[in-house]
Amino acid sequence: MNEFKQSFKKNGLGIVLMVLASLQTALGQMFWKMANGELNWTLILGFFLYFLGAVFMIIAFRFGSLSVLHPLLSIGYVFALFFGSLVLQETITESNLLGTLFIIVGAALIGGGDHD
Amino acid sequence: MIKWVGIIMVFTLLGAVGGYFFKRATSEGVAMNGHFMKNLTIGVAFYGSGAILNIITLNYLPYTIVFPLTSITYVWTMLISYVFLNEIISRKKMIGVLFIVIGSCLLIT
Repeated sequence: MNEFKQSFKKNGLGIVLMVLASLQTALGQMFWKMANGELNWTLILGFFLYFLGAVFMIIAFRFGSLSVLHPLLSIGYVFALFFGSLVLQETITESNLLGTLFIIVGAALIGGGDHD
Repeated sequence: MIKWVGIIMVFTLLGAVGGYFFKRATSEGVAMNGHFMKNLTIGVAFYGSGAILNIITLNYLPYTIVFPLTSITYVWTMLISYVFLNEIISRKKMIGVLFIVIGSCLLIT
């Protein structure tokens, strides 16, 4: 348990930046979806957020192990599900929720797994 | 189908290699120097070509197959981190990536 906490501490800033990066990526894709294939402000906002997500990811890599930080981008799928149901009114199934749970557990194991 | 498995392996590898060069870019801090710009450019080239190949694949295979398989990228990341960055690949990390792959499959069912 101590090693688990240590791993989170060691990669702390990187983890925070990766969570922000995945949030921006998920929001970016949501705005692309809202753009409906047209060239409008939501499409441009989507591009901006997606780009910002990439910048945050690159900076995050400075502050921790690549093997911890890169997989954490999958937290974006969790955000996407949340925004999909909340903003886009998409239906969330039981397997959607189970999948999200798996991803959260997986991400936590990776975040806390930087020691043997 | 075998052909597509190969292509999915290639674009996930391209994405992971891109991530590795992003990591290399920031190894001496985030600064606009030669080291940063060189590795960033290589990273963008790999990451970008991976993304393009991903989009092309989506034209031929259903999204429900391509999306979860994209998480194979992180399996490559583990290998690359171990071989080139001497990072520890603990059992927790391996199980974690497995969970992400399973979770991604469940998300689209």
